[in-house]
Amino acid sequence: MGEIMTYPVLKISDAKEVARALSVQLERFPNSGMIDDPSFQDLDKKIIERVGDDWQKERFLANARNFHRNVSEDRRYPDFNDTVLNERFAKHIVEQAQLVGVRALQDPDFWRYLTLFPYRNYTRMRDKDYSEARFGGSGNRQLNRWTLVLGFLWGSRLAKDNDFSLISAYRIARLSQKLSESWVKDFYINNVVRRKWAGTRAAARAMVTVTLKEPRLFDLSNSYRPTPKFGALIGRASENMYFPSMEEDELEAYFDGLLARNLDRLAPRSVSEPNL
Amino acid sequence: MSISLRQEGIALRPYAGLRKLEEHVENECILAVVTNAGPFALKHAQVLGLAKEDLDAIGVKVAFQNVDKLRDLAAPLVMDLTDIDVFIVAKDRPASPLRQTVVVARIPLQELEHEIILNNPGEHATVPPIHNRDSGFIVEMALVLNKNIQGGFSVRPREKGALIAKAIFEVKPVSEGDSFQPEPLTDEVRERFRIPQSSWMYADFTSALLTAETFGEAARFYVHESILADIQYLQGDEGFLAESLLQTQFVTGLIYAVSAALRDEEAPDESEIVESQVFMLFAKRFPAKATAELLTWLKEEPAAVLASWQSKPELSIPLIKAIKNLNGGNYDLSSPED
Repeated sequence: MGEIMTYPVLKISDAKEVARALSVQLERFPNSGMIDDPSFQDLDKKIIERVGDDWQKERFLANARNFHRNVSEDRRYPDFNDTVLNERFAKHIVEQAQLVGVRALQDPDFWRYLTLFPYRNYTRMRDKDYSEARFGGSGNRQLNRWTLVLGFLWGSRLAKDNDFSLISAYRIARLSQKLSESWVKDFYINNVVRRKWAGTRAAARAMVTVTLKEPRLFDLSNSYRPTPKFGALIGRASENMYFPSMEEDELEAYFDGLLARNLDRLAPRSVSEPNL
Repeated sequence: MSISLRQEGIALRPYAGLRKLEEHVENECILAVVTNAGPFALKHAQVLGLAKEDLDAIGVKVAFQNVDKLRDLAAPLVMDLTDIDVFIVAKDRPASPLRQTVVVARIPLQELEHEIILNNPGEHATVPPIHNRDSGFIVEMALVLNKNIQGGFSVRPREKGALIAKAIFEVKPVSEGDSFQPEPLTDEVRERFRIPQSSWMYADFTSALLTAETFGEAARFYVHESILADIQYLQGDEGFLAESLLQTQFVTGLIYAVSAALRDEEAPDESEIVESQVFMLFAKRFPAKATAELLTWLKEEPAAVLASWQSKPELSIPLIKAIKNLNGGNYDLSSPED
């Protein structure tokens, strides 16, 4: 008889309780919170093993430890910031997902476990708290706003085979133009993570590629943000073009044309645009 | 099990003859679903609600009731019928963490047969979204132009990838997890229910309150957009109090709406009511009460039902503590039931 496959989960009521305990503890001891911190051992009792899928536990947890260790070291360098942290996690969680069965990945309770156990440190670093919005408390069913799911969508929609370059391409392009990183997270979250059409991964990749082709679209201020307008334009086009039927290069060519026809409206040259 | 309708945006594809084709697709293209709960045939835009366990090893196929007519109606829209491909796509619903889109089949319209099987009943699904018992799935059938057509001024699709017609079907899990979830109170909702611009909440109890098999069909609870957004970030006592405020508003409205509906001369039969999701909620909260007793209590004494609902120590003790804390702390409480 085969071994029963299980994966760890945290029910929402237990997740709320764990989050409350973590918040209290971290307020008192701001440096605690690593995966193996003994002060949290009691909380482990809330984890339930759910039957139905498998994961490579040891490897997954070892990778999570390495991720946190590397991030902790790299945070000392001046070029490591909040945006880089998001990008690192987006790549890391896509690689980690290879070690987990699809059934477990489809289960929101598994993501609650990840948020408050192996990735509680990442959650704290990124969000500075353990409020319920991070893992779906308070009736928050918008999963693309959960901390880890957001990172996973950012990474999985842009990764192709072993190429993860688009995950950070927008930031790197901005840096090459000596522009700040302040709109980078917004760009990825507003377009790649939240747009319905970006569920077709080739469309998400094509959008980022076309955004960074000449003439490149860079958001610069609240009054000059061409990329969300471009994302909305693609959304309207998706009513009449069937993106899942198109290859990435076809989507790129289509978005190119769409942008060319609407460039003046999306990114008017007359409006406070710097010399790029 | 329940079947409801989706609401979609309007697409602009002004192709001559499109309307007839769309009508045909909407009525003659079916999603056939086989589960432990029985077989179901969904038409375009219908949503099938199933118990989670019925989503396991589900049988799913897209069936075309009259393929020849489909081809006849599609032909005038293109230069040649070989210009159209049929796509069958499975998608995760927004409640899935993965939100995947998977092309399951691509078939030239010329070669289309009367059905395309996505998963055989009793078999473990290999298409990930079909395998998703936590949040269900969406299946799309799309007729798509498969090449660029040069020149010509006729109103026909010309760009490769142009959508010609589409049918959408949705299968979602319905369980105790299908709880009342607050939705944003937008200006559109205020206008629809003719409530003041400054209102911050509204509960809409539908005529199916005592019979609906899902909470969503029984009632909708709307809360001011910014309250809904901000409340997620509140923690500790503030968070608990804010949640209590919303919960109390809704439960109070629900109990009085149920009471009024039970007093209505045209109230449904008891046998129908006891199957409803709303009644099950009360039966779960007050397990010691027999069905007839519970119904009479709800009908005659809504104020007592409300007080009893709120008396649950898990709700009342933290509430009293939270208010004490806001007032500087120092409490010494025993259970209010002592």
